[in-house]
Amino acid sequence: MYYIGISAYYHESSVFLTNNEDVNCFLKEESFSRIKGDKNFPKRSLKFLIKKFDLKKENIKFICFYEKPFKTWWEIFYFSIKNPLQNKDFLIHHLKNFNKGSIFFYTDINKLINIPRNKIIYSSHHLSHCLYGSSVVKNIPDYVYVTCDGVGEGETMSIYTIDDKYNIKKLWTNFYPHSIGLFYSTITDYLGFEINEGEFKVMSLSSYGKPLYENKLKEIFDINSFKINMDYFEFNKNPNKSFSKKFSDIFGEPYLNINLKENFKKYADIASSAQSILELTMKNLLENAIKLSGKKKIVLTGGVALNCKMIHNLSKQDLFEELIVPPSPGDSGSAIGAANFAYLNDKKTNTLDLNTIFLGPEKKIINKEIDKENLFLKINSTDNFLDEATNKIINGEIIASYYEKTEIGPRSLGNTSIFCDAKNKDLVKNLNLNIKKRDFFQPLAPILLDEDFEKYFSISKNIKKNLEWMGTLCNANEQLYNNYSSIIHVDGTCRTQIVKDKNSLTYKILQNLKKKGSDILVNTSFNISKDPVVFDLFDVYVNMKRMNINFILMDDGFYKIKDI
Amino acid sequence: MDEYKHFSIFTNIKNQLILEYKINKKELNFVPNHIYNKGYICEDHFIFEKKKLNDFAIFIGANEEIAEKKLIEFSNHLKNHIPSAYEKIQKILQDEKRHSEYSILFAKKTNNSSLYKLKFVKEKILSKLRHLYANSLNKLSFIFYPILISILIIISFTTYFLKLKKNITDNNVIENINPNSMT
Repeated sequence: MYYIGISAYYHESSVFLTNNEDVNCFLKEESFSRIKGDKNFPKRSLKFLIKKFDLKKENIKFICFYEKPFKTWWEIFYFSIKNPLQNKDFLIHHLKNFNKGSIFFYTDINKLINIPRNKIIYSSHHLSHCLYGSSVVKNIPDYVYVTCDGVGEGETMSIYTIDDKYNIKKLWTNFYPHSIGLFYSTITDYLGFEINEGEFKVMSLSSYGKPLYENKLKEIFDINSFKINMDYFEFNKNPNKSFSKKFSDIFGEPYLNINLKENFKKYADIASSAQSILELTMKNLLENAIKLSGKKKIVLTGGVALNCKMIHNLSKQDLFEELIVPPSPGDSGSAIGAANFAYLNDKKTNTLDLNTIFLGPEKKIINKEIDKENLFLKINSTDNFLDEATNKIINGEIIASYYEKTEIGPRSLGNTSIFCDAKNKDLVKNLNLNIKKRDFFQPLAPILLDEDFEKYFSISKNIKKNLEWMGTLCNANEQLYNNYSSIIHVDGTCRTQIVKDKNSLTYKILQNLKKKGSDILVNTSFNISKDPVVFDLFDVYVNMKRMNINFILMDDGFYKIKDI
Repeated sequence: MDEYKHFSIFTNIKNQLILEYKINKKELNFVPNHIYNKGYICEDHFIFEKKKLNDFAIFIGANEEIAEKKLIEFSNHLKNHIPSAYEKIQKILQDEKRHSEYSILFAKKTNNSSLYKLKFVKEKILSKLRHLYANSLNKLSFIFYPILISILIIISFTTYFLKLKKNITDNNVIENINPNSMT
């Protein structure tokens, strides 16, 4: 019997299907629709699953939505309706969108698959985050589960514990509008980046500035009580703008051109100050969680946990024994939490046992009906195609990788990536700015074998586990500066990925590379900035053409793109 | 590949305008909300997913003509400001003309002559109606806006007396949650 978790309508839509035995399949709607962060009901993903797994009401135990639909809609509406005339634009927008939200989840599901109402269940937003977090650790009762995001069902921060009988306790909650996530998103909006997309740019930008505005921002967000001063915000009034006139009066004109030197400096200082407020707030939140639970091992979920610079800086403060941020801590990963809720709701004393972070489908399953030979030409002359691929890399070629299972989080972990030799400075710069079309203040990430990590990097042991899925930063050592300076951010950190699985192709290619004199590859996701990561072979072909990449490593060989 | 190329050309024109005229980049965001939300471009389906291939070809053929006129107007407007952009848009127009010709050729091949003409005229009328609808949305809002404000005031009166309790803690989350409830 299958358990299906669904996250949709507000952020990246996703679906997770499992039988807790041999089948796990996580899909994002953006992979099919090719709309980055697609938040629509994931009908294409579900159609894919229905076809691949022959889904029908008889073999589905439960379909679980990741939050309570009406509560989600109502909590935000209830806050703004207290001043209906002042907040009219937001309220009208919210009313008009009533029929486009998750309230009609059951109807949307039934358009695709006829399923009785009692098989559709609803988890709670932060509980889904918590249950996803619990699926990535082994000793569940040893951890305290902290969730922090923009808002979900009116909650913005939560602390949970789970005992050995799977009794879940909520120890503390903070409520909308008092949200550090919305505070950071407002800064993102003010600096001219897209909300839900540009937060990581603010994080990268913050390393170029100094926290000169920290004290001013402390008046806007209280890092001790976690209260927000709504005089500076408009997200409850205006559906298109998050900050108020009072905010602009203090910090100056918004949306300036960041490519101009004078604007860049100022915006970097604001980003640095916002980053500092975030880190101080999260330090207090984690201290609170430790105090309330008595546990010093933490699992952190929610969109805020994607801020890997914050994770790195928190690790230096000797707060906790271990901090785990799962590979997809945002709402998209909550589909896994929802499936976990369905399983727990059914079994009562057990949760899902997921042994891998690669929960997406295998590439050969995705492309069952596509003839690879029409698009690509196999060029390896021997069975040792990894050797030939490595030779290309050493000779200064950028290659794509498309093999094994698909990653679930926002970061490509080698299986759907673009690689180049990290020693080659010009190549790395070209890949970042011209091919990927990223901003110059966003560095590319390195990938290397776990055993080589300490030669080039250092990190607190309490967060090292997160390096397996690029969940944190680490510090560059002198040897890295000598040989691989192209991947070091301006503050001396790197968003490194370590590879442990000796059976994976990524491990083997790194091993091969090492024999040829280079220990580190640049690993960046297989997409152009603002596009979703490639999913099927047609996406691979189009993206390779757009990026002028000629070679690709797949499960069964090394290929060259054809001209068609 | 053509569409990606066109997108990149428009992005470059946009960036040029931002730099030259010191415009806030958010002001130049293309968000055709009134069209998108009302289903002209289907929100949950792409047009090619909803229509049969034959009908989709006719849709492209009929609408390319209207799009072409708009694009010519836009490029003429740019001619004096950014001459290089004008040149690039002429190339886009050539591409689009080719797409339109392919579509019409395909549609003519796969439909008999009278059916093709009928479908083509129908698609053109629908397209004009869509434009009419989109253009009159602002006028329609004069009627609907006061109604919506009145609804909001009524809801606000009702909710004024609501005292909703929020639980900061919960000792047994799984027992206290109703999985079948949406609230």
